[in-house]
Amino acid sequence: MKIDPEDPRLTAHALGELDPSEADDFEKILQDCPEAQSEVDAIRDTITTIKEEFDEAPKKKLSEEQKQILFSNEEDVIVDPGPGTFSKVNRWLGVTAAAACFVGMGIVGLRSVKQQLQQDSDGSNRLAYSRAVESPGSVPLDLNKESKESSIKKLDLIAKVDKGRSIAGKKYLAEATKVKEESKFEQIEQVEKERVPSSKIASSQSADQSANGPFPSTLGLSARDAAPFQNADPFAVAEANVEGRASLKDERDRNFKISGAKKLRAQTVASSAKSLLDLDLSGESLSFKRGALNNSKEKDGWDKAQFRDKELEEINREQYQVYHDTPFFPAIERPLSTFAIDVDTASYSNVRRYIGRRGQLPPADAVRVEEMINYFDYDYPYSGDEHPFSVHLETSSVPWKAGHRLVRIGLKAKEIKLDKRPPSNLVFLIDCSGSMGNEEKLPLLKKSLVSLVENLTEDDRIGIVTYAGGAGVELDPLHGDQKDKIIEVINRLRSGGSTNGEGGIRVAYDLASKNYIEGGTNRVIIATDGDFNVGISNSNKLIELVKGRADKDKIFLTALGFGEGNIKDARLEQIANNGNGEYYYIDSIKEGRRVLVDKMSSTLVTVAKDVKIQVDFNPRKVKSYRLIGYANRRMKAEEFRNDAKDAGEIGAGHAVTALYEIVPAGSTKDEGDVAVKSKYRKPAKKAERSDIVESEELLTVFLRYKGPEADIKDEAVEFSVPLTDSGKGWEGSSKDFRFASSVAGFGMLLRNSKFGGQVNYDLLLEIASEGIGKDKNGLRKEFVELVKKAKSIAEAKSTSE
Amino acid sequence: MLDKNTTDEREELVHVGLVEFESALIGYAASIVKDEDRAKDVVQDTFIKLYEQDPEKVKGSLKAWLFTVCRNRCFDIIRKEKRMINVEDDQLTVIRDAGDDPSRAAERADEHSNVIKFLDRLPENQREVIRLKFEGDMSYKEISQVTQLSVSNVGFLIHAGIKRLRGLLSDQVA
Repeated sequence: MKIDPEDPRLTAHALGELDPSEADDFEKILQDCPEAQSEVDAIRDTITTIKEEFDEAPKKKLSEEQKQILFSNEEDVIVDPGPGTFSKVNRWLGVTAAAACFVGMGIVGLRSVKQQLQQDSDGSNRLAYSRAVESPGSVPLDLNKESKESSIKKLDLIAKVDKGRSIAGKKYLAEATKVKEESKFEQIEQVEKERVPSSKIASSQSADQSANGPFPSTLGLSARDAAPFQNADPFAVAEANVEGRASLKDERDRNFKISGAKKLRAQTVASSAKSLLDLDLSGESLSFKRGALNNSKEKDGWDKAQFRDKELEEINREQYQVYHDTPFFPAIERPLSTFAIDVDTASYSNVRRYIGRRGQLPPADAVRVEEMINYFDYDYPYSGDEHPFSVHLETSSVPWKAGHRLVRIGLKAKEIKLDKRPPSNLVFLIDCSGSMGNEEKLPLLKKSLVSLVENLTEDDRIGIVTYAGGAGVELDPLHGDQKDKIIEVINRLRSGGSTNGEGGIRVAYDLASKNYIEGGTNRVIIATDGDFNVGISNSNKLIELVKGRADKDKIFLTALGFGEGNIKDARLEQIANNGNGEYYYIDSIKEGRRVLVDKMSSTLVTVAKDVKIQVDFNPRKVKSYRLIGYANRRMKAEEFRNDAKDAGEIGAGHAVTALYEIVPAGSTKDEGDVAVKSKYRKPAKKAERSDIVESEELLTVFLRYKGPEADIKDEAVEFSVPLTDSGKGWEGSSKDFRFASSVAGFGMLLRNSKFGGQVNYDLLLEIASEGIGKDKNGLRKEFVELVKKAKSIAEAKSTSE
Repeated sequence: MLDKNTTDEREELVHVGLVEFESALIGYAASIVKDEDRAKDVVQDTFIKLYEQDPEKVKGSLKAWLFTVCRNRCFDIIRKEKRMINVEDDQLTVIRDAGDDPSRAAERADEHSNVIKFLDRLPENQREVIRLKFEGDMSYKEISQVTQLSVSNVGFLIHAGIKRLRGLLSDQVA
């Protein structure tokens, strides 16, 4: 019997991982198959080498400071050690407190608190605590001292507060703790909170948001049930602590942008240890336990636990970045909304795969609303030739929220006919790792490539580089008329193969620049299911490289994502962004043709780059506004005219659509108040008429872009289009408008967006059907079917729950 | 309330965990977060969490427990970082600076012998299971618990990973 060298049993056998009965059978097979036997021997040799090297590698150890937090030792105990138990747990809880109570004094204060719980022989608790304030940076010492002293005083005060109140429901408390201890700490926390600067509040809020973000309802519970340590619930218990530490680190990193951050880390730990010696406060009869801290964090802890479960499932499969829906902003306070355009469409094809093929609703973070909207063609005409794209604005009512207005900004780039497109110099960098073997990956890519090649002309050039363990040039660029030779190479591509050399991506860029076509389309197109072992392990270096080649060599990068189970969605998008290219997800041969053939000119021919949009809202007309989608494309207002700031590219014939939901001025609804609810800010001033220009315009859209060949130094072109709301109702809206709003609504529904208002499947089906229009390629009808299917999945889910 | 026995048990558990798995956990975490200092923070956090557990519940599967918690924490950090990269470009600089410090790079290179160096060329999932297998000295089943992959998937990844390492090693000799 012949054994395939790819048979994993070979390795399992060498490692003794086969069941005894299986091992016996396999042993027999090996006796009849000398090749397999020698394969096993070779595997054993490799295993021995690996084991030896791991054994010989120097042992990695935590620093002494880090261990100190884990273990008690003599010097930690300052006040009356006395008889009784000493809790290790509380030692590191001190660190938690330091993080939770983190106070940014001036700009940089860094303080650590260390507290110990000790028990008297009579059973009552006494706290020996001390704290130190260290000034690792530029903070004036006296300021530190002052804060230190005042904080100590406050603590003292609190220490004298009566014991008494009890707090119920310490779900995640590790130990049953005395209630009076907890009430104490709660009050300490109160004080600490007061002193936390608003920047800190903002950052902890954002951390919480991320943890509380919308989660897909299809995932989660099953993973949770399958979690091996369900009872111990390892994920939930220490959450508050670790989160605290993390936000401390975040804060610190923000303060120290230089590599000092590392030193600082050591100092924090060291100071927390040292603090016990530096400051000896008379032991007030106060004790604290993290229970109270936990209490306030309880809900977060739970949400995070769920997140963790969802994450557990996701990690092993597909990775998505967490996105937050952009909230409503009050126009009087923040009249400018700025973002970079995005022509990616990957999210829609991925959503389609989830719903259509897997019969599941996608994870919320896989849904990027703008990519869904932009997947579809819209009939905006391109007019004039002053700019490479024209702008089309439309306003009507919001289908999911009575009284609100919806503004559509549509960009249409000039068309370039396929036969008039400039010559292309394409180098494909193809992932041939083992995981690409799946039918939906490499074989699908090969078919799509063949369709592409059939459309190339003798002016075009195409090259192929593969990467797996190493990297190799499979096809030195050939002219597009040598179709047979090119197709032969494409057909030869196999997954799992690896060639010599390193740095596949460099090789690909080098080939592309060697064959650079002046005035043509010069691209590296990376096709992968998510593994980026392209020879550069450091992810930031990879981004730097991609960005550098786009800026200097004018070679852009397009990413094609394939397959299920491994897709690194956020990563592919990020790389394509930095490479001035787009990210597409290819889920079918139809989509492969759409991206590489039908849309080839828009996919490949860039007509403008660094396209930014800034919308200036008139507070006289607009109470508050919300950008739908583009969550990770938002920019700061001042970056709009910073021409060194990278933004989005637009290809020939591309249509880009953005939607704003607007709460009209005079509305009594409170969406606009989101940004001003801070105790550190005075409520927004009432719009003073004299401050606002007399204008009936609703808003003005400013656009800024550079030509495709422009340099980072070159100045961008700017123009603007004002919009006055005609007050048009839904019945007057265009089909494109209706369709785009149904797609946006679908995205919000899938994301469980809290801004979704009255959105529901029936409403979506209605407005999508109204908006089908000509639907040349049948994609809008397909969308309607998709919504129907999502509806039935959602209904089945809700009845089963 | 903590009583003496559980406290001692906890301390012992942490102690055992450190002795047995400290180095492997740091190596494993470093292979995910790509920075040894951060990896150490992760491992410290992991042991801090261990303190909170009921020793009875964790004892039987200490190794898998430690690697699971460590792994989750690693991805936590990576997720946070990714978010920051997208949000603020300044943050990118911080991270880049930390990673590219030449003295650190040299230190890393010294530590890594050939196989360990070649591990970096493997796809993430293969690299991970191979580290768990050999550095963590885990069975396929334990690896499957930690990574949530099926046992046969683990077997496949290890097989493929070893095969590639073999190729890389022999290329180097030749």
